[in-house]
Amino acid sequence: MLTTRVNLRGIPCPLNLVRAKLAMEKAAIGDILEIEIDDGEPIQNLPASLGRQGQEILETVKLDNYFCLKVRRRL
Amino acid sequence: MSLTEEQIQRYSRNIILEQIGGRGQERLLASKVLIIGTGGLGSPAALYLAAAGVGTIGLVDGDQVDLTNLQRQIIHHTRDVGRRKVASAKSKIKAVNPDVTVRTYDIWARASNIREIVRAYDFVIDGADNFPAKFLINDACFFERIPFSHAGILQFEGQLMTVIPGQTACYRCVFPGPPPTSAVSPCGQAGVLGVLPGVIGSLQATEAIKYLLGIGELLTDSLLTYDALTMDFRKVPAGRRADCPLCGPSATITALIDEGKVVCNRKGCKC
Repeated sequence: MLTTRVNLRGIPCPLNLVRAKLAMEKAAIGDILEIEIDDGEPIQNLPASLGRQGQEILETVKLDNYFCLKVRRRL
Repeated sequence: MSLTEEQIQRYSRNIILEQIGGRGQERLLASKVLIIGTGGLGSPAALYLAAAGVGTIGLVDGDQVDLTNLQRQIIHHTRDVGRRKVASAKSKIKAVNPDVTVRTYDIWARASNIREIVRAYDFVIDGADNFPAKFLINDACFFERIPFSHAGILQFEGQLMTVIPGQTACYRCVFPGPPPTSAVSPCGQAGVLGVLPGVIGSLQATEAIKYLLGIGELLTDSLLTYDALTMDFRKVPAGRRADCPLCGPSATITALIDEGKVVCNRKGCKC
């Protein structure tokens, strides 16, 4: 099982979701993505959107001025 | 194939959809759809399929743009009057989305030419305006086993049906042959609400996209009818018929035929 880091800082909604989905498609089912996203809209929207699309949100870690969202590809 | 930065942005609203994603978008870009008739139905179908990123669009039409077309054939503009329809449509498709490869066939679909054209495509949209062409498209797609969307419009009413040849009801399962020419108004004499083909042609484009992506449920084995005056959509079950002259077990149609000429009694009419 692989873990891939994806930097989506500076990418606004909803393009960050598009990028996250594309990164997710490159991973195998069961793999983990660590997605770096900005505070504000991205952290409010992205975890919920990925969750709605059937992905598993493992944890959200607050770093300096951004977040790291740990997601497991389920679909 | 991998999406470019520009494509990721252009198709972002497709990619976000759970049923499409990056893979689905790549599939659309690799797909080929043939639109027969670049008129009322073909106009919105071509524009939406181009916008969606269907990679190759074929256009068949032997006509030129006429001023009377503009009320409903929205791919053609006022300055295009007199221009070949396929050339006019191609320029709008390229303007909407330069990603799309457009192949033009400036001819009328006939028994002698249609099979070799449809066979190069994944899906066909019947945007023809006359019964002989509709039966020709149905039969050619059956013989070549190419899925297609049938549609027809008149005045305030439209209908459509998706056909997976050999698997679901074909146009001849519902209508075995063209109505008598005396019962048909082939040119503009019956009139048509301009937005009507916009609705029906857009539904045809929806079916094409669903088929190409393998998502949802296609409008097969049923005819969807739409009445713009009452806003009634009705889905009428229409299964395969054992006595279908084309796709039934004792089929009588074994080769393409031109179902008679489109006749018109209007003075000076060139249809």
